[in-house]
Amino acid sequence: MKFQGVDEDHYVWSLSASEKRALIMIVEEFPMLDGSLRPLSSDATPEAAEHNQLLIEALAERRQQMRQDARAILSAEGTFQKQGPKLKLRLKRSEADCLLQIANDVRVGCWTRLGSPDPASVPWWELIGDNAKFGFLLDACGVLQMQLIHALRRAP
Amino acid sequence: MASVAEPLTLPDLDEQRKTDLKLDSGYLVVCWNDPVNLMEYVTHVFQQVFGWDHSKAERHMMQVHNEGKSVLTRETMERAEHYVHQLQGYSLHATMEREQ
Repeated sequence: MKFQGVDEDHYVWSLSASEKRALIMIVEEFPMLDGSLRPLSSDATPEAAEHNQLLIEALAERRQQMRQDARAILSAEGTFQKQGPKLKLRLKRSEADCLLQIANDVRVGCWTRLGSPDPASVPWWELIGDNAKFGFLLDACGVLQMQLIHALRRAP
Repeated sequence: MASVAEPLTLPDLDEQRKTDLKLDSGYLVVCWNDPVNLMEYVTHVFQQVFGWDHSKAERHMMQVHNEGKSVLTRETMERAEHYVHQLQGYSLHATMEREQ
């Protein structure tokens, strides 16, 4: 996946068919985090507990909406275009930001499922089964995040 | 889609409103360090949520990274809650704390 530049109000990347499949796989795994481990505040009052519950519900609803949005983005005509042997990926800023949040959620979710290892010292050669998938997605999401962040630093 | 992606832009406040806010403020929005979120991602989120430039966002990200947390802003309860919702929506570990 390689950032090509900005075309009017779209960010444009070149990517291979396997990179497209990885992108779809990331979206299909989303959401992996449930948000319930993050209290709104350290306040232990009933009011704070109620606010915290509302936050968890709001985040869950938001994630479901993002999943629908991301599926719509990836299946929209014009998002992927043939470009010789490769594909061209075209995203608006809001679409790129949506995919960035999804990639982060899946990356952190995979890391959690792998037992929260030091990201720099994951023993890839020992991963089998679901852990191999999580290991692959952890890396793929990291690459995708850096591509999106790098591009989003530029104005469309 | 707009609700998930557009940078927050808050309206300019007149002097009276600023004074009211000053009296009413009392909650700190705190972002805590975690071992997995990418530093570039955290910087990007601060820019998106608070509308900060890259340099300010990166300064706060480095404070989170080096000191374990950073106080991002001091607000009324409602606004602090709004910011924490936004930050947690981006999967950052953020909380609001009543100012002592």
